[in-house]
Amino acid sequence: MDLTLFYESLGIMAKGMGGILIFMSLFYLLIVSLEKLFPVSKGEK
Amino acid sequence: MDELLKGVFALGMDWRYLAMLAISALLIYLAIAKDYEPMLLLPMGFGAMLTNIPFSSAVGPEGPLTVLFQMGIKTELFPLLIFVAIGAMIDFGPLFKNPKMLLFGGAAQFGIFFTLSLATLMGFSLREAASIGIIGAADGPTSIFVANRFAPHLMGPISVAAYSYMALVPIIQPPVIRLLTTLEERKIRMPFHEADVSKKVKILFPILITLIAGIIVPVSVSLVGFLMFGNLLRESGVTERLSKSAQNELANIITILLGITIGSSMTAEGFINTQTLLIMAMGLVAFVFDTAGGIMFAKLLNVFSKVKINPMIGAAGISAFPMSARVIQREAQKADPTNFILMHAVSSNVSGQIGSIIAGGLVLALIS
Repeated sequence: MDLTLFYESLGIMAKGMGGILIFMSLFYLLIVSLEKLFPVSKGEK
Repeated sequence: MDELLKGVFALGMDWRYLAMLAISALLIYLAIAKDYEPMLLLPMGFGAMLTNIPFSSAVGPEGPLTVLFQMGIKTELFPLLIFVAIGAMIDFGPLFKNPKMLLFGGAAQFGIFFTLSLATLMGFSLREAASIGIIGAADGPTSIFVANRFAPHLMGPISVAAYSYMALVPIIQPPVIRLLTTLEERKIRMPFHEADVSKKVKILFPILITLIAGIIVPVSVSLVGFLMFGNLLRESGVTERLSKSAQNELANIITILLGITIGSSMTAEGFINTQTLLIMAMGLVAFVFDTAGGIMFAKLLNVFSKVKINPMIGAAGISAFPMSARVIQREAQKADPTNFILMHAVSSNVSGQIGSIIAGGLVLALIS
């Protein structure tokens, strides 16, 4: 059984899951930064 | 007379037509009698029926379903317009109040890549495997978008699998949750602290997400951009009419066209084979391992965190919104009737919607 494609897919799995977690961490930092830069004003409450 | 009876003869000569008519009837039955994703399964079932009537005038070179397919699916227009509607419906508020849940929205996409690898062992090419794996995004438009790019000949079974399993989340997730968590873990309480979010944050978020995702992974611009455009229509506060149209008229019209057109891709030749059964089975695997991925990630975080996370919150990172969040809350209350983790589950579930389109974009980028 030729496992070349399977091994390639494992690489894609590693990059894909790594990429998603990096993106979600970036978005987390984005939200935290935005909330610090633009807190709720008194008028909005 | 021959002209009138040729359809009847064709049905008799090829059992696959009859089988597909039965499958289309099943989809319509599930939609109406069981309320399984009726907005999609009913048009899909009817489209499949129109396609599989022998010598149907609805398909063929000038058939209306063929025209719709060329216009809306091949061009990727229909799934992208649905994203505008979905974006206009999403309220990211729960996520802003609990941004750590973004991690679970990412972890719960594990099933996509696990299934992709499994599919390569089953003899599928990398592109076909990616199209099958993306069922795990638990997001119909993303599945259609990727399948159209990589394996349009598998669009029929992939779409049926994606929408069917989304409807079956309340049946798929609980056994996986109970297998991977202890009763004590399911009882973990997570106090929710209400926090306000400013309007500027809600406006800037979709713009910046599009820019960040698009600059890093340009192939994801369509998926992310259209979703976030819809969300900006909602949050800007100055396009209420457009937001309402996106959530209602646009959503309904495109859903009708998308459903019936996808149904038209369910031809007897393309659907009645062992490959379809394999795809349906692997779609289920994708959903199971999405749930498992989210739970195991939460348990991993608990090893390092003093404040314990209820691992079921990880399972809510799947993109099936809001069903998954409700499933998690129900399971939490089965373990402890006084435990209320719905808001955390909703935050995780909303983040799953972002996670699934990012996963779709990454799959497109990595396989292309």
